[in-house]
Amino acid sequence: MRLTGAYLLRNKLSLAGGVIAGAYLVLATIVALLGERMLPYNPYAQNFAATLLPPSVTHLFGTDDLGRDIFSRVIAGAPIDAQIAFIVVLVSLALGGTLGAFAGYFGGVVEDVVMRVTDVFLAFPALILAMAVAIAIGPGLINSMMALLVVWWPWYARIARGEALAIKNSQYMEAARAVGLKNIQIIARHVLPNILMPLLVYATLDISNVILTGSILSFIGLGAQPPQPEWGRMVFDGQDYLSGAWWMSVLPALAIFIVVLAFSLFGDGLRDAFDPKLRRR
Amino acid sequence: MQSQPVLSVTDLVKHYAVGRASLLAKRLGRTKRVLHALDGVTFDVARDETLGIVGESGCGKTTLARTMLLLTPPTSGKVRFREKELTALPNDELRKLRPKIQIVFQDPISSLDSRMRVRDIVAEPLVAADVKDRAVIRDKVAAILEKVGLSQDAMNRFPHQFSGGQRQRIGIARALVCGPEFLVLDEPTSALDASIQAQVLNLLRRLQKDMRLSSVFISHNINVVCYMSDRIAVMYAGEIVEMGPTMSMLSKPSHPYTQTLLASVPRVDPSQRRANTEITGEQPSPVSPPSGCRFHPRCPYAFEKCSQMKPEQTVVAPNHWAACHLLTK
Amino acid sequence: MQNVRLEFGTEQGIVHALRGVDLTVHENEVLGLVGESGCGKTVLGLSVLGLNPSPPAKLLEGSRILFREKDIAKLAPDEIALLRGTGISMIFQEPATSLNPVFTIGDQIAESIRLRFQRSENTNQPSSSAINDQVHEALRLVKIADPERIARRYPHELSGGMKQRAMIAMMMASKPSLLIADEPTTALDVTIQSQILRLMRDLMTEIKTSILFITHDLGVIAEIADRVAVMYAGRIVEEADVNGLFKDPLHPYTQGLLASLPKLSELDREIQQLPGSVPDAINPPGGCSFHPRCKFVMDRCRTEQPELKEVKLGHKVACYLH
Repeated sequence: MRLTGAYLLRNKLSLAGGVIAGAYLVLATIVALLGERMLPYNPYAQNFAATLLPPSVTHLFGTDDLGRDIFSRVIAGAPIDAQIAFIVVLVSLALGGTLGAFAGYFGGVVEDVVMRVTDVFLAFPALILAMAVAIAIGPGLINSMMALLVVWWPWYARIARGEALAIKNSQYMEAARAVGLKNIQIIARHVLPNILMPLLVYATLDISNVILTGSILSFIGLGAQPPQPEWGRMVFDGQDYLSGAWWMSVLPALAIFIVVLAFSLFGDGLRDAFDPKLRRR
Repeated sequence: MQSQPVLSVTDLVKHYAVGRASLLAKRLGRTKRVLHALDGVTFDVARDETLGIVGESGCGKTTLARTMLLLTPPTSGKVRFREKELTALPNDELRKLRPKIQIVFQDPISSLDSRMRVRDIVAEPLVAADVKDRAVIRDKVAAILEKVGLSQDAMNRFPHQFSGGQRQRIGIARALVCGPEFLVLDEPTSALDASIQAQVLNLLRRLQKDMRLSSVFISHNINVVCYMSDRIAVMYAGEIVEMGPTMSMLSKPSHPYTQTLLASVPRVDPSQRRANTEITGEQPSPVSPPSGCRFHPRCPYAFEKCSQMKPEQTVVAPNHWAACHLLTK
Repeated sequence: MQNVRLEFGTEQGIVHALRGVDLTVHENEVLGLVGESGCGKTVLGLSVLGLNPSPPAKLLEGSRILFREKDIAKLAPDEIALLRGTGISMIFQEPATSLNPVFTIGDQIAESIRLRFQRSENTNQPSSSAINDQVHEALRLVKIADPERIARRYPHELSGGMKQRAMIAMMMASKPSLLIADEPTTALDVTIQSQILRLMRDLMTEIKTSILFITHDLGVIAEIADRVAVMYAGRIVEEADVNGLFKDPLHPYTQGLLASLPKLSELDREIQQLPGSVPDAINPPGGCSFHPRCKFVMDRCRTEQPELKEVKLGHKVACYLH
């Protein structure tokens, strides 16, 4: 079952991904809690004497067109994407997962309705749809989070419904009916706990997608608004200076890239860890 | 000793629609084929009695187990539990009665939710019966676990930490924790090794006596069914072909299928090897069962009437009948 | 088989599946191998033809499997492949998994016939119509009425009993000296089972094949076996001719097994049950592996493992009581 070479390689990568993702989360938490006090510079402080300085010892990532220290901004911006990603994923998981569980368990009209609704959402690429919703409700960080929420839950509903269908006719489900439990009780006690694992694995992989999509929304101006140090927004802000002060865009973009890759690899490894185990069981 | 039967099943029919049919066609009742899983099954189970149901694969006994308890809605027919007609009850009231009519399933692995601890699995009927007091729940679970021969520390463990026989005991504990009056046992020992089977069968016998249970014991294994039951019904192609007290059935098997069944069971005694058995052929397809008596294509004694008319129930001994034209000749 | 020992490496530890098995199948006899799940009987059957998947499974040094005096335990996989199908054949519990779903029954039987010709010294391959005749003959041999029609069918179109007959036809078409049957009737209805058992006995006398019949069902053993070997925790604990075993079981496990079957003649008494359960194959009990469950256990049983010894004519047992 194990292609030893490839598996170990992926394993090491996903371990590395996990470490980096973990470090990112720790950093984001610290910043969120302690605020800007621990940063070398105030991320909002403008300094027209020090605009567009290249990376140096005093300014690790250089400065932007308003003289703000990019390194401090990047650190300060860390919790933003993390918060959005986790909220979106968790709410989608809860909402979509529950809806999907109901759909799979009850079947019939309930399933048809939920599935057709998710079909509509899933017909569009998540980014396009998120953009459409963001445009409709206006720019802003909270608004972009709402847009993401609207667009993200159908995936979880689909997975949850599939998993619920798979276990619907297991004997322990039949036993639960035979024992006299109400449908609600059966869903709460048996369906949800049993579909949780695959949903969680998908969610871990998904975090990287949300971070990326959120950044892109900000990149096109729909999400974070100035002067918020959100990474996607920073890439947007630095567009005009790419030929000269490339560090304005490239370094925040690099940060996005590293974090997204880290979560992606970690989620991959997690999924692999669960897949053969599921088969073994 | 005429008292009201605990459970009585009348003309229970279960048909499944088979084959491709659009949702609309199904609504209009027009489907390609019908699978006759059960075709008019009638029997009673008295207080303290165990009725054994024996038959081979495809005879409908598993469907009977499910339909009898309305886990699957029957196509037609009635099921009465005490004075209540289960088939006429609204869903909610039926659900409330369930703790009183329990079932033990065949597969000890899949009938227990592997993510739940044993104490939660066994407590489920109490939860369903709206018992809220945690202490009461804990006590009842502890008591029933002891009764089925499991140690108290089993409570906090998960099903996969137990052997097949122990898991089946957990299933039995779950069925009995609410003190049911009626129990359906659907092949409870078929998945177990012979030595474990003996333990579980003995346990079941003891429990049935202690808790004054009325039960239906379903199995394909004649020896086991005879050991566990007071009366036996033999099923073939969705119908009961013969029914009577165990001893009477063994000494006077009257339906040719019953005779074949008894003759085919390997005896645990090499000196009793039979030279030949007359049976040929296979189980009939439940989608198009044979006309008249469903056993006629395989019956060594079949004659013209057998393919034309369904045989009536003929009494052959006290409380013992068989449905065969030979008996009315 | 002499002192056959086999173990599996698993994540939980080494599974000692076979711990020194001594077994002999003679010409023209049915040897019944009986035991409960986990005793190693299936592994034993598979090990004759080297069919246990070889990285986790390992046949230990000192294990000898002699087929017609030749040690086949040490043969390379392609040499064993030559034996399979012609010298030794095997049928399993689930015919559905052994039959290729995309070929007709006729094609599959024909393949085994062609294989036999290829491996024999016969230089001229029989024509396809001759092979076809042999296919129909094989199907007739297993009492399938209308063999021409059945030969054109695919496996999924047949019932369980028919599939098993087709399997037997396929195996018998190659006229093996030894047929290993691993629970061939367990998945079948009791009425079909008795038909298949009768068929196997008839075929055995016609084609002069010996059968190693593996099952957990003592009733089936009583029906079909000439001699019986009882297996427990990877070893043979008793071996006798079938009448001797059932009339006078010597090993406490055999006695317990026989007593635990509900008998139609003793319905009102409680069945005698064997306490405890089958031992853990990774950590089997020391000494005689049955001792934790044995009501006659003595001190010696806990520390020394008893040898399989002949204590009566044709009746061997591994127990310190004898």
